[in-house]
Amino acid sequence: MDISSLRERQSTEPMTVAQLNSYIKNLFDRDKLLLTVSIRGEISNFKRHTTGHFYFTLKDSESQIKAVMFRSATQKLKFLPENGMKVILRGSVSVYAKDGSYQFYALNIEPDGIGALYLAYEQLKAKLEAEGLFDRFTKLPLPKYPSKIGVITSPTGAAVRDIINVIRRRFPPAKIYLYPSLVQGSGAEENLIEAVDFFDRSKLCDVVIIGRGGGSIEDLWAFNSEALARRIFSAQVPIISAVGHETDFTICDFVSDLRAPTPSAAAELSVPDIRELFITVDGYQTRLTSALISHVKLKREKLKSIEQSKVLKNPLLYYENLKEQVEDLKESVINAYGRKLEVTKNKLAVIAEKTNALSPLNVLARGYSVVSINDKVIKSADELKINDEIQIRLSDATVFASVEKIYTEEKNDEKEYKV
Amino acid sequence: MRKNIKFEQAITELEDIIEGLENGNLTLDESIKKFEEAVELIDFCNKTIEKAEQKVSVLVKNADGTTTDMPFETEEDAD
Repeated sequence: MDISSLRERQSTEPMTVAQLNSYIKNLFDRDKLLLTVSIRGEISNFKRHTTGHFYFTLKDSESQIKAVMFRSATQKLKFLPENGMKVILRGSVSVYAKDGSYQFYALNIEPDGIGALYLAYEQLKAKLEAEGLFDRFTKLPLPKYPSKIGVITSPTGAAVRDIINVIRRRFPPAKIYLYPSLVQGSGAEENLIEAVDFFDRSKLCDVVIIGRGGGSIEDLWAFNSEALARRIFSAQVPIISAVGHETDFTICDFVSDLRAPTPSAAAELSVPDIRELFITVDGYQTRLTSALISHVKLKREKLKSIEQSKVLKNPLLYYENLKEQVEDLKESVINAYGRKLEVTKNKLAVIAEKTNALSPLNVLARGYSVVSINDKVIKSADELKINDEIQIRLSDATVFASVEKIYTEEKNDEKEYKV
Repeated sequence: MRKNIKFEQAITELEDIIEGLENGNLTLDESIKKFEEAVELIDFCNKTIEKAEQKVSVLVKNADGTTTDMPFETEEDAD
């Protein structure tokens, strides 16, 4: 049913809901202003449907309007809209006949105030950072002395020339492998990923430099690719990123193992300076030689001190010492023996004196005498008889006599005579 | 001299040997052996860093997906 036929209808005849909504939709769709309109506001009730369409409300302090953005348009968006985000929508206003409601059909969303690319970059950066892709401990160490260096950049332009020149000047032994890649425009992202993939899988190089010279944020955009970031993160070969100038930061810089401010700086960071290396190796040579010399000197001194030892200098000395010791021992033995002899002698003398005192001769010398009969000493009168022949031993003679009388010594002084 | 030794490895070994010699705990025989080893390593290092002919290759993709490297010349080389 077309509009003209609707207009010509009898006004008394009731319309269907669908007819009315369709009529209103037609009015909207013919309006030039509503066909292409820009609108500024804040996103709320944002819903991202599984089909890829976005449904949300755009509001300002006074009013609000329902909005929809279909998948064909959302796919082209660099960033993901969020509630509270201030944006400028571009699109048309039309009626959703089924609901009888009008809404904004967005073709593009632009962040209000900052650029869409910048916002997209900030969002991806925050996301990957939260996932830990930029964590310091995930960074691979760079080889100190790389022999093969991979370079991913445009084969024309200043970046490749700078890199080659710097490496040539600093570290000529290193070989450079250039993987020529698009660095901006369509296909650049895929090309860069392919290059990283090649160096990671082939293990051709010790370190890889990825980068390009300066440009606008659009020019550097391929280096803000999420897919590239993830490929770099998973690579086992250390990667140095050098995108644009010192002030340019890209996702590629954050996820790489090292960020260099410029391509030349990346080249400098990738290799040691050969002049310093010559000095280092020279230093080793000097240290090595002096270490060996002092080592030998040490051993020689040790030998010398051994040679100088008394025993080696005068081997007989050892025996002489022993001999001396033996002599000493001998002497002390003799001394000890002598002393012992002396003591014994003295003891003997004492004993001799004592013995002498006890000698009967001594008693005799004091005037006593011993009477015996046929060598039997007489101690009592009982052993004597009158006329017994007796011998009297004096100190200086023996007298032969005979017994004439015997007096016995009694207790009461009476003398008994034996006759 | 072992083959396929890397420059980095050679430097590390040199450092170890020199440290060992400087500590002086080696026997004379050992120290002389180490010294000879170090001289070879130094020779290797010097030769490596003196190899001044730098090569720059550009990786060219073949139809079958493999890659070949060819000499790469910058504009400066062409001059």
